[in-house]
Amino acid sequence: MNEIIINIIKDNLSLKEEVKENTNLNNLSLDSLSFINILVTIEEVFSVSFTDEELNIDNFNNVSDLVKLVKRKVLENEKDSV
Amino acid sequence: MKKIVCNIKPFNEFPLSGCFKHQVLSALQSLNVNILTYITNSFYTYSYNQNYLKSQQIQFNSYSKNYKDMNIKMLHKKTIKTSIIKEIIKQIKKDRLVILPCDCYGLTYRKDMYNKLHSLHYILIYGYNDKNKSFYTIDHDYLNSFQYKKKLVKFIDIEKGFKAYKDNYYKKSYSLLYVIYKTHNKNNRSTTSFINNISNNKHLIKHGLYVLKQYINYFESLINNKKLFLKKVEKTYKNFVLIRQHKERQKYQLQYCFKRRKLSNILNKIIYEYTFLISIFYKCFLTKKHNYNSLLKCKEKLNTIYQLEERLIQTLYETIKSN
Repeated sequence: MNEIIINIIKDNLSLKEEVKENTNLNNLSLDSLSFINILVTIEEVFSVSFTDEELNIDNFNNVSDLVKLVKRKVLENEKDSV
Repeated sequence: MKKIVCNIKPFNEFPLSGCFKHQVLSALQSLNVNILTYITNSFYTYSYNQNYLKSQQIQFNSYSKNYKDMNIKMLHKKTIKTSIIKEIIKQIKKDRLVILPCDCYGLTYRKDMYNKLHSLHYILIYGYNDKNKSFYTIDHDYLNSFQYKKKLVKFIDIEKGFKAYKDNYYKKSYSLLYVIYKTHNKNNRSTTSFINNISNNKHLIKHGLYVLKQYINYFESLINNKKLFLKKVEKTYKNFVLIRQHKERQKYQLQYCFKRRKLSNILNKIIYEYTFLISIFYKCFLTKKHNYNSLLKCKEKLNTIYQLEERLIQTLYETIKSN
């Protein structure tokens, strides 16, 4: 999952440089709109949905924060389906 | 031969609406002008037209009057008899600063745009060196960067950037270069003129609040109509983005003038609420979904923005009174 999310970020931002889990989101050329682009792609790929409050980029420091949230949402989905 | 007009300082205090303004402010502060006169010549409020909320800039004085108040002459040169390089050198020899229009497509040092993208741009030139055939300039490295710095740029590179401007942007009535210099050393006007301008334009500021309220009243019918909402969502989110940008600028403007944390705190809250609106609207635009519950929250946010705007104006008037 980590790799997929990193690839989604890289694709959306057309980045060639390496992005790691500890990469600070401020260091990427990421604004509030491109962040929403990334979240919408993640929603489609992992069949999860972000709350309105989670759409704010300021809630996330680095890529890892985003990965953790998506993992949690996927787990919740799995629990619900069981 | 080498000549530098003055000890230049790039203006990076806060983001302005474009590179031209950054270059003008770099020039003004380097010429020891009280730049508050320039910064405080406008105020952002709202307009409401065809059911769209927009940011409206009230400009208090014309640019020519504003420059006159600062004892500054800004020449718009529309004809040049010699080459652009010779013309720039001629102006610098007279102790004048030059702002040169360019197209980034032709600027070799603009890695983001050189030979890739066209973008109208302005470079501040404050000196030249015949020996290494270079100009002393102020510029930034990439689009939307607010880190302007000193750069030594070869004559040939300036020529290329200017040629690209002439090829892709220039029209007969346009300026070929701008020349700035100080007419005399007296420094007048500062925050006082801003206070006067704000006081004299209270009705326009009040009207801005009134149209914001009108938009909030309309907003409910917008979010209740899915078809209408999806038709208007793109333009609406783009307008919100612009309003947020202008609120950022207003924050810096007021901070710079009054150094009052209370004003910037209110503006930070307004910016935060707009960020929420933009997120919801942009997501709806991308997904083509009309998420009613999220949009209802947006209505609440707009009401909060209205209250904050009211408080901002009230605090501004109080601040002005105490000044």
